[in-house]
Amino acid sequence: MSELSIDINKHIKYFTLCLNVLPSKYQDQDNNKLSLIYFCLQSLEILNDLKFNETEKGQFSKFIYDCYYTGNGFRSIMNSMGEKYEKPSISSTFFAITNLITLQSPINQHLDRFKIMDFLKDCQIKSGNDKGSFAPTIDGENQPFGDNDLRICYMAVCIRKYLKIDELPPSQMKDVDFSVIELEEYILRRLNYNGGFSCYQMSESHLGYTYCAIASLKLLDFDFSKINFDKTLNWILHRQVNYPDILYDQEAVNHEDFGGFNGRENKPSDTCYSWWSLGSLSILEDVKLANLPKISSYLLMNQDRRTGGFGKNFDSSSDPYHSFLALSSLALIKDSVEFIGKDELSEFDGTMSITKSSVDFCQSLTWPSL
Amino acid sequence: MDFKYDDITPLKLNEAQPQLCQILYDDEYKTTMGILLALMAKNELSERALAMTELGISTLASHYSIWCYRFDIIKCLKKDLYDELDWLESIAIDNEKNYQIWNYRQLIIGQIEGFDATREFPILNTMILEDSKNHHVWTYRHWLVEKFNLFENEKELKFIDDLLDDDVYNNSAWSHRFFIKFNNEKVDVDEELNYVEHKIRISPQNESSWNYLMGIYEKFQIPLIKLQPFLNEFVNPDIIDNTDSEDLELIKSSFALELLAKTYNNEKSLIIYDLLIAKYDPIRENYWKYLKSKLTSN
Repeated sequence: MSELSIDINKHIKYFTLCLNVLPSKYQDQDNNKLSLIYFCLQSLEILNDLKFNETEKGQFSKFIYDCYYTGNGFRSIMNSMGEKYEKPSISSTFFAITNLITLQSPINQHLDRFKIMDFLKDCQIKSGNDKGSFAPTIDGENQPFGDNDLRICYMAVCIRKYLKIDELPPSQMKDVDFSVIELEEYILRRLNYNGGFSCYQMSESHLGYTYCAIASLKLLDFDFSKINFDKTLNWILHRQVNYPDILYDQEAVNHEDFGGFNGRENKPSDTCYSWWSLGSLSILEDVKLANLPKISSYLLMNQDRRTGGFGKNFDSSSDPYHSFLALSSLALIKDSVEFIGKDELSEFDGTMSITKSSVDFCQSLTWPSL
Repeated sequence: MDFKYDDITPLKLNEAQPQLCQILYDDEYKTTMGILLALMAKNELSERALAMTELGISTLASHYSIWCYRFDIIKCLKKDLYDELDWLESIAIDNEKNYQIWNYRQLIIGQIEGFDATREFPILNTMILEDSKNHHVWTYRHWLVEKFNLFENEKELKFIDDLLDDDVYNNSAWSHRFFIKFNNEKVDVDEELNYVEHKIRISPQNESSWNYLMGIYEKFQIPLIKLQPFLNEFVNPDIIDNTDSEDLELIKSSFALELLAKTYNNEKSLIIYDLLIAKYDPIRENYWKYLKSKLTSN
């Protein structure tokens, strides 16, 4: 059964190519290039093929450190448009630090973690409906600027974890940390009537936001027994698509859409949602509650066996984002499901969205204290 | 109007070597972005800079720094903000997936005193008819309703009614309806229950409408047992006593089945979960088993 194997070598070729050059159609993601690098580096980590020598590691790390800006955070790689218009942002900071961790650069010797936390604190919203949330960046007066949402919160929480702020003694933590309680309250206000989480209070639930909410709570060491998440679990499991024709109208759905996850009710499946669901399940309960044989065969059928990588669905060509999330999903569930080649995938962390070896590297660093 | 940029030396885009994920820019992109970045670096707030932001946005709409720059130019040159809204509409149609357009629109509207929010309905309706589940457009609509207190606006309510009449599976519309109806203290709960029950009767296998119904039950703490007569319209109770029956007419909705299991919360629920596993929702087999084990361990 050839469809139940993962084509490791093709995927290595795909990500190695993307890490070198991308065609001009990626111009419209120029300012998000740090995220493209993250998808490629982490995927090669999953595939056990990130094999740079020390010189290469140093050169690539320098390329990332060049975006480190006045010690407060990282800017996007398009960093030549003058001070006024290129502030550090939470997303660039998250992707840059993740990339440096993947490259095993000693970030504890290069970054001022307390200044980065000051930047995060400036981005945290202090009043109103969105109190506790994070804006993507700050304006000229160091006030939060831009639209906040749960994705940015998740990135802020990961940065805090990378910098090991949660391991500081309580007396120091209170001066350094952002408001964890206000953030938790904000996240819980985004819990919707159907059990999913949404961008605004009572806007449409979305699986991506739901993952960001649950993973953030986990990283903040939130006590999950305080809230009943049965409805959330139910909603996430219902995202796995199956439209049996004994029940569904012929016109309303695509009966061939089967085994993957969708992001919202009555939408078609998409490879990326396998990650947002399985990651959430790994935190809330157990990935095994989902139908793992079906999701793994869905993902493996979506491999592009010609170019390597994965597209969004059967009709699309591969891109780094969908390829990374499909690979992460397979790595996360590999011990509970059968497919050829699974043992060649690395262990992957469902909460931090990086390989276990990247988590271990991060844990091994000792930071200067205040 | 054509502008001259001869005096501007285009900035070089990142050409560090070696680098990662190097994008093979085309010449047009290099020129446009090079000039735009140079103008931004010297913070030139002028008509020609404004024209260049339009070109920049058409190639790199996701970069919010360009939007910030444009906003500064608009304010400095005291441009007509309504013209700016019209311009945004013209580019929104070609950039369905872009959310910066809608953030920027919020920023512009925030500058207009006494703004009439219903002015937004035509463009929003056009965008939603184009793609009825566009997340960014719905999120913007949500913002607009909240900011301008449109919860009881007749046009808004009619728009949602029409969308659901047209496509009862539109989850975005259901979600928006919940937001509009239940933000309002004066909501008639029975009327809403009748509405959603009617919609479920039209299409019993629809997760969106069932979730809406359950949302009302939870919000108003209606005992689940009251739901049973309605559920029995879609699940003939005989099937639980005679699971060998092959008559598919007995069950019209897997959602009714699972809710029935919840309302029973006893050994009958175990039979229902077995039905879901065997025939009506087999993909969630492990979940139904998990609920069975929770039930028997209590």
